[in-house]
Amino acid sequence: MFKKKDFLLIMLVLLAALALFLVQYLNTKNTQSLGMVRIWADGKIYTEVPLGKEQDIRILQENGCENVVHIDADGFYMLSANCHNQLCIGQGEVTGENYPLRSLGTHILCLPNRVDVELLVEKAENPDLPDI
Amino acid sequence: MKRLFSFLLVLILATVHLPCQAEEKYSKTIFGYFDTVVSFMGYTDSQESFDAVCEELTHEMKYLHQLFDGYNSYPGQHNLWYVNHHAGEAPVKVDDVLFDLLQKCQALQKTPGYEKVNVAMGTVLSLWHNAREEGALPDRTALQAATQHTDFSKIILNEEEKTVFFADPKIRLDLGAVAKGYAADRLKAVVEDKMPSFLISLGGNVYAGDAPLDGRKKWGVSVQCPDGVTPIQFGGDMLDVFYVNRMSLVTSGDYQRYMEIDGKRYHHIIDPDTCMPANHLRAVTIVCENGFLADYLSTLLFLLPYEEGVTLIESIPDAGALFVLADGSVTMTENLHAIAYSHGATAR
Repeated sequence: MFKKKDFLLIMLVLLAALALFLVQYLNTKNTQSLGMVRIWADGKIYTEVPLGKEQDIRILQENGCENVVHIDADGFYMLSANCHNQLCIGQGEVTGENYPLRSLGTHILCLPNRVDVELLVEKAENPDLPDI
Repeated sequence: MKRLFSFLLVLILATVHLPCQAEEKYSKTIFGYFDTVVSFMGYTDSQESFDAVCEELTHEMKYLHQLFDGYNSYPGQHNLWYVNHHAGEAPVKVDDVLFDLLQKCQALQKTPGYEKVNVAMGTVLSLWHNAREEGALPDRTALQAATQHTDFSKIILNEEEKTVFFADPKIRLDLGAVAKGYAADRLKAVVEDKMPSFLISLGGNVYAGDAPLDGRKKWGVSVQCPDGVTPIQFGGDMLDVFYVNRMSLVTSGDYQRYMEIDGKRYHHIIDPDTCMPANHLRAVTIVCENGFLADYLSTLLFLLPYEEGVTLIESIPDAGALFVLADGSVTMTENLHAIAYSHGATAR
């Protein structure tokens, strides 16, 4: 027969398990940074900005390289850059919808200024989408 | 009761802790090497261990980049620039890595059918390089004069001394057709012990290692669609997707480095016999294990008429090719059907 104490103990363990699960769930949520835009400059993370509020992020490096990324609720694009070829401007917009169809995927790259803007998304629904 | 309780406890704890053991995909874009952008990704247990692999990778990449750099010199480094500027005077001692690459090129170039990839035609290629920078065709007489100094047999490799000597002092090496593929092989050797499940792309020169650790059985590697050719499948600008492990994929095409004069396109892959860009194909992708060979073959097949290329690639075991012909039609060797999205292959 169950004793009252046993029942309480089981409930306690279940609660502890639930708490542990919640902590881990929230942690993974954080590390995945869903809907975040990660900006790299010269190989280092420059900043991370969530999608949402419409805003322009200025990336100013010590060597004078300057890029401006426009971010809104759907995605982002390179608004301006002081690089010589302006290819990053021509790479268009990255959104949560269109990235599987872009050859650069979740990235906008400015090679001369060594800037890489990346949309952090959860693993694609379709496992057959290419990695590169 | 106690036993049931401990069993429950273990079960619950196990369930809670299982998800955190899964390995995750990390990726990094690296600038400043091989005149292109390097994409690197892999499955490992933490950002820290991925960063550690990246550091070793970058270290090796910097070394290889400097070694194969034909435009700059580095203190104390007998790199390609140094060889090109001094091997005409006296034999130059070089690192094993550079010597090994030159030896591999020499061996392949001697093989009947493989002659068209000639890393000793630097004189011709630099005329075309300058022409593309200036946007004007190279001078015909200058090209003719340059072809007098492209005889690979004038590059003397001394195996024992590991030296390079130019018996023709005007000859110049250009490793553009092979350096990235060879570098990919060296980089693979650095990474694979530490993080076997990885993929690296040196500007389209791809090596995919062991299977991804997310339940898929293969990596998906897309092939870019040349302009004016109808993209297939997923839409966007992909020509096809190949699902592979432990495999190199290298593409040579007319659509990345080129200039246009009077509406005619002049790209960067030059036929040593005509000194002009080859026009048999729009693009060719080679799939085989070895990155150096894949790189060499992609240039070679681009320089050959389509039928000759097919015959040649079919004579090599475990190698396949995807062709985009001059008229835009797309074909591939039969052995690639099993790994191509367009023929029903999947990553699962």
